Amino acid sequence: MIASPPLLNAAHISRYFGEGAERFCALDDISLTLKQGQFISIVGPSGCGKSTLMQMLGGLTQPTQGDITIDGERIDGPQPNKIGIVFQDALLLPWKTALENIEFPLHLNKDGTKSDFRARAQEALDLVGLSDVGHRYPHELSGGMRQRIAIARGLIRNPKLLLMDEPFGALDEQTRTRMWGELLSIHARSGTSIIFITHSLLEAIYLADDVMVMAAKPGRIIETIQIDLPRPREVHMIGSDYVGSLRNHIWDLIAGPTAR
Amino acid sequence: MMKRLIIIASLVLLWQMAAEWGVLNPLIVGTPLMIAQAAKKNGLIFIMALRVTLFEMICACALAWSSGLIIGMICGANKCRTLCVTPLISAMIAVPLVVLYPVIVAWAGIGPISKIIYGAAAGFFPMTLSVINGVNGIDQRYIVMARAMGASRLTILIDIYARFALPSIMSGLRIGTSLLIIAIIQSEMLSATDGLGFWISYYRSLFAVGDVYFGVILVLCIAAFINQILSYAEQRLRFTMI
Repeated sequence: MIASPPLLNAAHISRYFGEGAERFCALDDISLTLKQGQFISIVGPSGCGKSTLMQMLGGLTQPTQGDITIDGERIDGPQPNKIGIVFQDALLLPWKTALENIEFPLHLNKDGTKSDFRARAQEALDLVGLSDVGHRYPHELSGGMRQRIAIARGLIRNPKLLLMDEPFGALDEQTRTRMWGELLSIHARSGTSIIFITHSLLEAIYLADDVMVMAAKPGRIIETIQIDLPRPREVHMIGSDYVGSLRNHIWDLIAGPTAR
Repeated sequence: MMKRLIIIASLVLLWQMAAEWGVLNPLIVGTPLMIAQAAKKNGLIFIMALRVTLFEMICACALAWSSGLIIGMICGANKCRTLCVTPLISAMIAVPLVVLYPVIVAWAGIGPISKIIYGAAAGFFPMTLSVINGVNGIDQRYIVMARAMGASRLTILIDIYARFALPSIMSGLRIGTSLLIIAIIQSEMLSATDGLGFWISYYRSLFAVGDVYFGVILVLCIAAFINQILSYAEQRLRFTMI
């Protein structure tokens, strides 16, 4: 088997904010590589720069030092053709129906003909298991449904990479557990790579192939942990000793002396 | 609808009766009959005047709406510009613009042009301020979302900013337009050669009460008509906004 080149490569990137004496380092020397189809979670305490890292990976802000490449091309601005983003809040446009919201990236990028926008949006809606709410407005849907529509919107252009910034943070535990199952099956079916930012340790372990643990001040990666759980993942794995000991290990990393 | 017509008809009748019986002085409040006679005698003058006034209003609306919308959007979409422009515009709203009217007449003469400039100025400031406030209050995360999805600056301005600000834009339109109507009639009364305001003022000086009230009714009709159009637009938009 020939090793495939990485999809995403970030080499020694740093991000500083402020000027002069106020200047501080938000992210220090971060490197990560992501293979096609890989699922990485990033966990860390609040204020460790997770969201800044995601914004840089999505091309929304630029690193002060270092380069991020996707498919060997430098990311110097938003990459709507290659990267889909799902934010902490669904951020659906309130005057558009579910389907129209999902079509929004297609319209923006004039991606294909208008006549097949609807069919593709419906397909994406089926993928997130909401086939029959296409004509409802966001305010008529529950938080979990809105977030699933945001995921469908992120996936509509078949991005090579899906960035997710604490997408389930605002959901209740039961909805979130269901969403994990949905996300895992979407990942299995679509084959996109996913970078998933969260501050829930169990969520990070349960979903990902690799968990990157970050520390704050300055934001940096302190350990990358491979998760040896078979796929498809089952909810009951969360209660296993293996996951429990991993969780404790990550907690010690975040709360322990190396993180300070 | 039928009920409303009956109410209006009985009020008109009551008005006429009150004047006939000497309860009200017809020289002050006029009578429906006097108004009807005035309409018959000087109807043509008023129709020509209506055309002039409407022309001035449409031109002033076009100027005030477009400049208010464009300047409001451009200033509102940027924190720094908002901070520079908002105090200026708020201050201008507080200035009684009528003190500038003689200056405008000196620049543009007593023809329709001075009315258009004056009316547009009266509508521009509240319109711009509403647009700035509406655009300014937008949740920036939506802008980040649109940028990540590949939206250009222009698309973001039109599809996101303007769309979110629609309720504010509509309220700005309503306030601005009513001030604009007032300003145009007022300026015609002050110095003009034609227009409803001019003829109302002219017949008042002749003590032709019927003609004065006929002119007033025409102005009310214009205001009501424009108000109707704006309410209709607002309702339609509210339906699509939710």
